[in-house]
Amino acid sequence: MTELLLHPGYQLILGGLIAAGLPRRAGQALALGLPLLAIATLFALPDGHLWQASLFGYEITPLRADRLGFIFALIFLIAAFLGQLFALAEDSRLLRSAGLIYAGAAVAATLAGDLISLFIHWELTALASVLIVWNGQARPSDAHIRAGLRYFLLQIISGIALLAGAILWIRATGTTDFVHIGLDGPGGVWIFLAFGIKCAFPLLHNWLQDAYPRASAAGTVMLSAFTTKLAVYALARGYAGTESLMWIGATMTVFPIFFAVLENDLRKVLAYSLNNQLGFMVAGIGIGTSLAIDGAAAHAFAHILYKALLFMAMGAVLFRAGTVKASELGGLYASMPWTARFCIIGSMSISAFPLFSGFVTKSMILTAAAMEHHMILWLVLLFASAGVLDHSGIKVPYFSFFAHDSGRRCNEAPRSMLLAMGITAFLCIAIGVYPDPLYALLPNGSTYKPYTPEHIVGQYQLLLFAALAFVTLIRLGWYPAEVRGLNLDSDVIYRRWLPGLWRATLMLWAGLRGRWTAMSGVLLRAGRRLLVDAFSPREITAVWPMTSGGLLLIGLLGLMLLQLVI
Amino acid sequence: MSQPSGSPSRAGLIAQRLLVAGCIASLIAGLLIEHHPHFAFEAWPGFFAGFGFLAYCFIVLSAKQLRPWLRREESYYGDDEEPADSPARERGDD
Repeated sequence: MTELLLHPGYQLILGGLIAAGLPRRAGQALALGLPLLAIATLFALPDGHLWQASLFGYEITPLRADRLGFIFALIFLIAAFLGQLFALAEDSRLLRSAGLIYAGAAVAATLAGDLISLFIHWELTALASVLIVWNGQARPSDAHIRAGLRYFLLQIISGIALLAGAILWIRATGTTDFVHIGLDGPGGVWIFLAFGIKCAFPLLHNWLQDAYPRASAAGTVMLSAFTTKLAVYALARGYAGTESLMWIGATMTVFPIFFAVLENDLRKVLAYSLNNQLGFMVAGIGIGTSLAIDGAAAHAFAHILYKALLFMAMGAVLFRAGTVKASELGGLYASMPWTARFCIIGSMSISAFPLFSGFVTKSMILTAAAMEHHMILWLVLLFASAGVLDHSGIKVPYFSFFAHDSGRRCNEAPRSMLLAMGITAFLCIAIGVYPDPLYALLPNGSTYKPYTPEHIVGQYQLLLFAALAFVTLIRLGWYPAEVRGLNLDSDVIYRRWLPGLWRATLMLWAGLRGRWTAMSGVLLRAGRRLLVDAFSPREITAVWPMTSGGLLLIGLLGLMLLQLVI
Repeated sequence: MSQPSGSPSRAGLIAQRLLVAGCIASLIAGLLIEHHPHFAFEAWPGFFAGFGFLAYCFIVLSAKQLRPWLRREESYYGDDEEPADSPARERGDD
C-alpha cells in the first residue's frame, strides 16, 4: 500500500477518485496540490527498477525510473498542474477528477516497466480523456456524443493493437519488459500501429482534430498534453532508429500545414499544428542517434508547454468571447491585452524564434538530421518550420487579437487563467534563454550549443522572410480569407464514405432480396404446376399439394438416411 | 479577394517597417558571420531568407488552391456537427 502511495502516477489517480466526491474548494486544493506532491515524489525516486509484482503469473514492473521515463513524467506533471490551474475558472468537478486521473494514467504509463502495465495505463488514459471531451458541452448534443465515441473507438483500437502485439511479444520472448521492440520484433507491427494511432500518424490522425476542439477551454489544454506525447515516449523507447519513422515524421510535419492554413476554428488550427509538431519528434526518433532522441524528448518537453499556452490563450478567448472562429474574431487586443501577449509568447516559442523554447529544442532534431546527412529530411523539416510560422506563429494571434476589428468587446481572462498563462509563458522563455537545466535532464545527456551565430542568423532569415511573405500576401490581397466552413480530411472516410457504402450495401441487399422473393415465387408456382399439380387430382385444395410435396420430400430424405445407416 | 487589413493602421505600418529592417539586418549579418555548413548550400548568401519566403508563399498559395476541393458547409456531417460556439462568460470566477 505504501508503494502505491509513493508512485507519482497513482498519487494522481487516487487523488482524482477522491476529488470526484469533494466540494469545490477542497477539490481545487487537491487538484493543484497533488501534481506538486507527485513532482516531489518523482524527484525522490532512485534510478532503476523499483517496484515489481506478479499478475496472472507474469512479472510486471509498475514503477521503473530511468532518464527517458523521467523527463516525460516530469513534463506531464507540470502540465497537470498548469492545466488544473487554468481550469479553476471553469469550476468543473469532472475536469478536476478526470483531469487528475488522465494525467496520472499518462505518468504511470511513462513509468511502466512492462507491456502489461503500459497497456493498462494506456487504456486508462483513453477512458479518462473521453470524459474530458464529452465535458465540452453542458448538455451534450448527439453530434458531440458521437464525436466523443469516435475518439474513444480509435483509442480503444489502439489499445487492442497494443494488447495483441504485447501478447505476441511476451509469448515469443518470455518476458514482459518494455524495451526496444523494433518493427521486426515479434508483435512489433501491432505495437507500432498502436503507438501510431495515438501519435496521430498520417491517415490515423484525424481523431485529434475531430475531438480536441470540442472539449471545453481547459479540457483541450489538458488533452493537448498527454495522449500524443505518451505515444512519442513509447516510440522513443520501442522504436528508436526505425527508418520509416523518419518519413512518417516528415509527412506529419508537412500535410497538416495546409489544413491549418485553411481551417477557420482556431483551436482546430492548433490541433493541426500539434500534429505537425509531433512530426518533428517522430522524425527525431526515426533518425535514432543519441542527439536525435534527446532532441525529440527536449522538443516534447518544450512543445507541451507552448502548445498548452496557445490552447490556453484560445481557451480564454472562447471563455470570454464565446467563439474561436477566425471569421468571427479580430481586434480583441484592446479587450484582452494580457491574453494577447501570452499568446504571442506561445507563437514565438512554437515558431522557434531565438530566446524562445522551440528554438533550443527543434534545432537539435534538425542538427541531428544534418549530421547524419539526411538532406531531404532536413529540407522537409526546414520547409515545415516556415509553415509553423504561418499557422501558429501568425494566423492564431493575428486573426484573434488584430486583423480587422470584429467589434467584439469582452473582459480580460479571469485571474486564474492569466496566472496559468503567465507561468507557462515564463517557462517558455526560461527554457529558451537558459536551456542547460533542460539539457541536463535529457535521456542521453547530449551536449548541444543552440546559440551559434550561424544558427541564430539562419533562423532569423527564415522566420523574418517568411513573415515578410505574409505581409506581402496580405497587402496584395492574396492571403486566403477566413470563411466559415469545414475542410474534408481523412475522417471523411469513416464519417461519410464508409457509412455511405454501408447504406448502399444494405439497399442493394434489400433490393436483391425483393427480387429473389419475387423470383422464387415465380419458380415455386412454376414448380408446383410441373411437379405437384401434374400428379394430384384437380379438385384438391391449394394447400394440399404443398403439404404432399413436403411429405414426399421428408419420406425420401428418411429413406436416404436409412440407407446411410444400414 | 479583399482582405480588410489590406491597408494597415499606423501601428501596422511601423511593424512592417521594423520587419523590413530586420530582414535587411539578417541578410547583412549572414554575410559577416563565419559558416560551417553541413550542406554546401547553407552557406549561400540569403539561402535561409529565400527558402523561408518561397516556402511560405508556396504553402499559403497552394492551400488556397486546395480550398475549393476540401471546403464544405459546416453542416456537412449533419446539423451541429462542428465544434459549436459556447456562451460567452463575461464574469468568470477567480
